[in-house]
Parts: sequence; structure tokens; C-alpha cells
Amino acid sequence: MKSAAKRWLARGIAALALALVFLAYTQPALMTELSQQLWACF
Amino acid sequence: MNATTTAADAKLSMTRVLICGAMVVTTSMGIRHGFGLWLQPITMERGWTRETFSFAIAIQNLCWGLAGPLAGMVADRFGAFRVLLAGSLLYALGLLGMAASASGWAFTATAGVLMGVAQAGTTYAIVYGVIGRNIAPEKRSWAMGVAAAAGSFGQFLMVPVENWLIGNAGWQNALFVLAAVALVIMPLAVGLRERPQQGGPAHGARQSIASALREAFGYRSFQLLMAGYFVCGFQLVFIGVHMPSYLKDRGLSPQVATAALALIGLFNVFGTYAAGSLGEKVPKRYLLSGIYALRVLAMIAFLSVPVSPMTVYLFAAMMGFLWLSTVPPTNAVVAQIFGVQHMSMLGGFVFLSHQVGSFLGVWLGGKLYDKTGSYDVVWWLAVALGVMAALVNLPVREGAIERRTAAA
Repeated sequence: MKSAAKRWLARGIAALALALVFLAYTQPALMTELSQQLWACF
Repeated sequence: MNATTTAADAKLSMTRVLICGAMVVTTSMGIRHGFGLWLQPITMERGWTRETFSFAIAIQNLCWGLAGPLAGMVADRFGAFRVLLAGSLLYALGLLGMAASASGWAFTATAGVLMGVAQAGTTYAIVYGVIGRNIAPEKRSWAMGVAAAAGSFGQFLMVPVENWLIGNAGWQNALFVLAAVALVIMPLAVGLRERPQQGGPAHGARQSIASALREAFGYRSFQLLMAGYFVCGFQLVFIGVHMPSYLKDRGLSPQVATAALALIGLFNVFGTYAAGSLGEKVPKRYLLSGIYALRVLAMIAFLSVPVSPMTVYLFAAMMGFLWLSTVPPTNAVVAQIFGVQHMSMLGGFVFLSHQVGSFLGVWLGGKLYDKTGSYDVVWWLAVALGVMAALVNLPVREGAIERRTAAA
């Protein structure tokens, strides 16, 4: 029970971290800047 | 058996290895992943061409691959701890040098050579050696999956972080901050410090480096694993570098390319973890073969339908899931076959093959585009190589190699 709870907590933290980073990518400012950087290479 | 018991007593705990190993890989893989963001500010301020910057990054990738076996050899002989310390220091020096370099050659020496060697000393092969020696074989693939997923997360995380740093602190200060971050590997390395007796052989007598190399390079399964990993490097770096240009040619907006790269980063974390976990249940040769086969199917499907934002996102998610998922099973098979005595060195050689593939993927992508005016030839080359990789992994023998020389 205890280790199962720990496992779910770890999964929850990992999912939260991934969601937060993905949200950072969706910020218009970052999106535009990364796009400009990407396109400038070609 | 007594020796085994002693070694087991001296082993590091799994939690400690996983936490420290994962954080080392997150840091080392993450820092380098956003280097493209420095292209514009550095070339503009220094008055360099893009070629100067790109050349240094290409050298970095080659040095990473070439220094890998050597760093692995030292780690296997003297422990990962010392290699990680040296790698962390070189990483920080490389980043400081990148900020201070006023000439193209100095930039190549620091951002290219120093950082390439630093990466060889702080990434998968070194951490996997510690995992191999300290985590039971039945948990090894899963543990490698955790470490690989951490590296994938580092890559995913650091692009927005580095972009924010450049925007708020300036490109040079951002590099100073990253140099400080690279030094965090040092205290983490303490958590991976092994006792001297742990470097013993996994099975059989102690083996010399020359004998280990002769054995590995003369063994068919090792050659097949290297061939598969070559294809992995070719496909990933071709897609990672040339896909934005391909999408631009197809008339898609830059935001679509950015979102695709974000999706690759996100699904890469899930894919590497899943591959490591599956490696505990499924024969790894089938897992590797399946990964390469799925890549082939994804590429054929993507090339066969009209390109739209939705098809790009689906392709990115699928390829992201398969992105670094070859890393845990490939390294776990190497440990299974040859034991863990020379694991970091052999992992370094397999990775060298990956880097040669990466180099060719980038270079041929550009070369054939210039010759033919499209990426079609390279896409289909990536498909053909994928079929080959799916096939060559099938006959890989995963069992421990039989050695004639018994323990004296």
C-alpha cells in the first residue's frame, strides 16, 4: 500500500512536471521566438 | 559465490543510483539540447557566419562520439565518479569558453572539443555503467529506461529555460548560469561513487581491455547492435535537423514545426520509459526490431498522406515516442551479453556508431537536398535503413557470451 502510494505520487509529480513544461512551449512568446530561430536556420 | 556476496554488500542502493544518475543525465543532456538558441545572438555579436557556429556543433557531436569509448574505459577502470567530476569541470569550462571565445577557432575548441569530451564523460554510457554494476539484471532495463527518460526530460525542459535565460539575462550571462548548472554534476557524482571492489567481472575471470574489444568486435550480435544504433542516429538527427526545413518547403507555418519539436520532446519521455519497462518483459531484440519497424511505418504513413498540421503532430508524437527508446534496450543487451566489467567502454563504442549515423543523417540530408531539390531521397533512405535495422536486430543473441577461460 505504502509503496503503491509512493509510486502514484511519483507518477503524479512526473505528469505535473511534463504538463508544466509543455505549457511553457505553448506560450505565444516562446512559440514565436523558437519559430524564428528555427526558420532562421534555413 | 563469496565474492558475489561481498560485491552485493558493497553495492549502492537502487534509489540512490536512480536519483543521482537521472539527475546527472537530465543536466548533461538538457544543457546541450538548446544550443541552437545561441546561434543568432552569438553569430550576430561576433560577426561570424552560421557555418562557424554549425562547424563547432558538428565537431562537438563527433568528439562526443569519439571520446565516448575512452571515457567509458576510464570509468570502467577507475570508477564513474572521477569521470563525472572531470566531465562536469570540462562542461563548465566549455560553456565559459563558449561565452568568451572571440574567434571561430577558440569557439570550436571550447564549444566543440571541450564540450564534446565533457558530454562523453557525463551522459548515458557512464551512468549506465553504474546502473549495470549496482542494479540487479532483472531490473536493469527498467532502470536504464528511467535514466534515459530523465535525459529526455532534460532535453524537453531546457529549451524553454534556456530561451528564458537568454531573453532575460543576455546570451553570455545565460552561458555563465549554465556553467554553474553543469557543476551541479559534481555533488551528484558523489552519490554514484562506487567502492573499488565493484569493478569486478559480471561472470568469469577479469578481462583485459584488448580482450574485451576483440571479443565484442568479433561477436556478431555486437556488430548487429552497432548497425542498428547507426540507423537510430541517422534517422533521429536527419528528422530533428531537417524536418523544420521540410515543413517550410511544404508551406506550413513555423509554429507547426515548433509544436512538432515540442511533441517529440514530450513523447520521447514516455517512449524511453516504456521501452525500458518493456525490456523487462519482452526479449530486447524483438523490442528493438519493433521500434525500428514502427519508425518505418510512421515515416511511410507520413510521406504517403498530404502534409497538414494534424499529420505533422501525429507523426511528431509517434516519432517522439520512438525517439530515444532504443537507448535502454540496446545498452541492456550489451550488459547482458558481455557483463558489466567493460560496459561503459562498450556502450561508448555503440554510441560512436550512433554518432557516425547522426553525422551522416545531417550531412546527407543537406547534400542530397542540394543535389535533388527535395528531401525525398533521404526520407526513403531513412525508411530503407529502418527496415535493415528492424531485420538485423532479430538474430541478436541476448544470452551471456560463453567464455572459455574459467575463473582461476
